[in-house]
Amino acid sequence: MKQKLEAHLNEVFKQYGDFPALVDVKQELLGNLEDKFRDLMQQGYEESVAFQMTIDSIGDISEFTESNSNDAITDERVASPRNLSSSNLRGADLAGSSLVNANFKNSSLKNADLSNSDLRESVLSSTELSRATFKGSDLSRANLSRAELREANFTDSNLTGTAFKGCGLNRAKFDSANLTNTRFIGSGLKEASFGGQVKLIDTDFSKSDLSGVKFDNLVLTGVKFDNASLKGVSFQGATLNNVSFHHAAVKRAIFDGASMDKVTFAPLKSAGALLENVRII
Amino acid sequence: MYIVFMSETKLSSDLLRGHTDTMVLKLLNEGDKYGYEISKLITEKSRGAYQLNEATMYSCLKRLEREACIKSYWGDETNGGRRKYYSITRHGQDLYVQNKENWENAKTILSKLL
Repeated sequence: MKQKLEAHLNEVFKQYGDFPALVDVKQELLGNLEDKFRDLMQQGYEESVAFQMTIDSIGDISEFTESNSNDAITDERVASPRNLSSSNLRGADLAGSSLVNANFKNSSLKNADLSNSDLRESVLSSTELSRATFKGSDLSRANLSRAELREANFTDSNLTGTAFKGCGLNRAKFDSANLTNTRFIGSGLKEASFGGQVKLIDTDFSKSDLSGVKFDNLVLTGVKFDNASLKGVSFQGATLNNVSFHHAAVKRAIFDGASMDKVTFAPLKSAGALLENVRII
Repeated sequence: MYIVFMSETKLSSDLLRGHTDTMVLKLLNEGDKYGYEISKLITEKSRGAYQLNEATMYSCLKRLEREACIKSYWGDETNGGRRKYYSITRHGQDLYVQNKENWENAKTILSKLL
């Protein structure tokens, strides 16, 4: 039966060609179908009926390929006035553009200049944006999930409510950016820079790798570092209010000369962080 | 008659489909599961009124995984195919609680309005 189901899967997936997760998808699906078939046989269905019921439960094959190549968040697929998805715009000069709601999904904008642009609510998910510059741009509520943003420059930008889930942001610059409610969940932020007048209010760094990042002398309010990797992260002279570090590796972070409220202090202390030179406020 | 019946089924299933993510989060909140276990439990708990096909479930799982609500790992099975297990993350648990609250809220309002 495994062979028969496998042959059926190969057949129905054939017209969708090869996509990166194809082998994984088929293997997972085959496991589920085998179990369903076995279950139906046990319930007393005749083999041919059980087989038909099993393959009928597969559903629309295009959903498997879409959830891999695109964003599965269907709401994002609403007709966009500026659909530039899957475009090649490497090194493009788009400075000062009005791109509200624009869709750049799966595009390449490596080294592109997007400074002083209006990119509110734009979709830049799964976009190649390494070394792109967004200086002074408004990216509020934009979606940049899974984008490659190595060494991208967000100096002076507005990132209020912007989503950066699962992004590559190593050595990116966020100096003087507004990071209110910005979500960096599960991103790589090694040696990213957060200097100047950067605003860190309710910023979510959960599950991110922040190795080597310096938050020295900054004010952090309601910021989340849950499950984050904090190797060598420095908070020297910083002020921390209601900052959470659940399951974060806090022992390797540096809090010398920091000030913090009790809500932040108590869990940090019980997690074994080094807090000798910390002032409670 | 048939057409009326079809559209009723379609409407309620659209309504249900909008909550698929929360249903899956609830099941994973009770323990790690692989795909078939999830679809089987949904069929059983709804007494067959809502069935999740593989494609819909897959895109739901991928979406939740991408949003860091769940994590997956391959189990090592000897008989049969390999199973991919899913487990809920803290973020997923938070989302479940929030969605559940939203639903309770909506239910209260709707029951007053309908």
